[in-house]
Amino acid sequence: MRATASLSRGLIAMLVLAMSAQLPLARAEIVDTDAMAAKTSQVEQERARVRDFLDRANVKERLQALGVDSMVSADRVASLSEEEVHALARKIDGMPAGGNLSSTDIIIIMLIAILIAIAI
Amino acid sequence: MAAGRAVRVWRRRMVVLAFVAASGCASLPGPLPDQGAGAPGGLPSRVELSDVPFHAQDAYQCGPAALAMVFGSAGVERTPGQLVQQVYLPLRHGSLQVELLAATRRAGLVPYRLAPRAEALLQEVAAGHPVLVLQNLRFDAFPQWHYAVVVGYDLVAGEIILRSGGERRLTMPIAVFDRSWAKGGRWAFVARSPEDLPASADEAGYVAAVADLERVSPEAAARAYGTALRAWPANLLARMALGNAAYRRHEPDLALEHYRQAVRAHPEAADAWNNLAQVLHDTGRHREALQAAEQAVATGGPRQDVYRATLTGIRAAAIR
Repeated sequence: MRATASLSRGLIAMLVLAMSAQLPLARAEIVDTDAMAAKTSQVEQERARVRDFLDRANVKERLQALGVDSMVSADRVASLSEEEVHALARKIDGMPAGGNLSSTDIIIIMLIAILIAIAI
Repeated sequence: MAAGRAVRVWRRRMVVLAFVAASGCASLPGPLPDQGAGAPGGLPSRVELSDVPFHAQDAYQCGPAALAMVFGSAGVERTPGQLVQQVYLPLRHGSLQVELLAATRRAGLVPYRLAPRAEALLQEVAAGHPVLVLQNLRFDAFPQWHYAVVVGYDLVAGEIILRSGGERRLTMPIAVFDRSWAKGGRWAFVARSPEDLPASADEAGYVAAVADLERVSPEAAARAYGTALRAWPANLLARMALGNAAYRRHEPDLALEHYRQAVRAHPEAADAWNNLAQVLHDTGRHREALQAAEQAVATGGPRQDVYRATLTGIRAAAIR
């Protein structure tokens, strides 16, 4: 399973690199909005596009490993910005996941906060 | 004797507590106002957004519940149950910050991250916008991350009013709230409809948020670019984005109009000259197209190779 996943990722990487190598460096066309926002050259932009593609595949797999349905994970990844996908690909495990909380938690937390304030 | 000492110790601790509470507010705009005094920056000293809907969270799902509340206030009806599929990570028992922003885009709303300052938070609440915040309710080493929605504040009483977990109306002393919020980097955002500019929005930040929305919801993004241009009529990125969107929809006349406005406001913008040249060329205005393409190349920049290709293409077409 894992071997298949990394194999398919390798294949995708090769495919994308091959595709981007085929692209002519400069095409007569309008400058797109995301390119303007990024303020980078066309070559860097192509590189960023490849990275983004791989990051998205990576994050999709990570979401699935965290219990997200495979159909749903594609939509979730698609709604992320390039920067967000990149951040997730690098450090999803270290990111805060807001969740669990009960009213007793809140009371305990407020008490702890006050006790700490007194102790300082 | 012993009792008297205990009382003295307790009193001293209360004084310390009051001092710490006050210094905890140092991150708020200036010292807290006295009773009856006006709030800093012309903000009302007390605000509560009672209309913000309340959804109690199930189990670990404060992310979906908090999102449903801010969506509801922006006119998008969703239940937490509908949002679980979009933001919940079963094996982490929680939701990631970036996924809350992503789900906001899917709802056709603009997620705008606030500057990590109390002023921005209060400003949004005062403008009627509930703010979704990340709190760490425990310690840095043993965190308990939690999402809540700020729906009000009372600077006179020194309180923040939240919809949090199972509590429809939770009040927290400002100092306690601020400590829990600061541990999460004072992360906060508002989810607003494309027509509704956040009260604390800064030009570059808002336009960047809209650009991220465009990938997910182009139609909503087009309206939000319009909102940005009403606030900042000379914004180049918003103007170009509307031009590009029109170009992609095969509406060259509308694209032309936007690009012309872009070069008028920003004659130094080579991208705008390049795109103007392309659409002039497409609509058969060859002489003007050539001039615009030459202007793009003369201006130059990181995408000079694109401008040269445009110019070459237009020259070649003129020969044929």
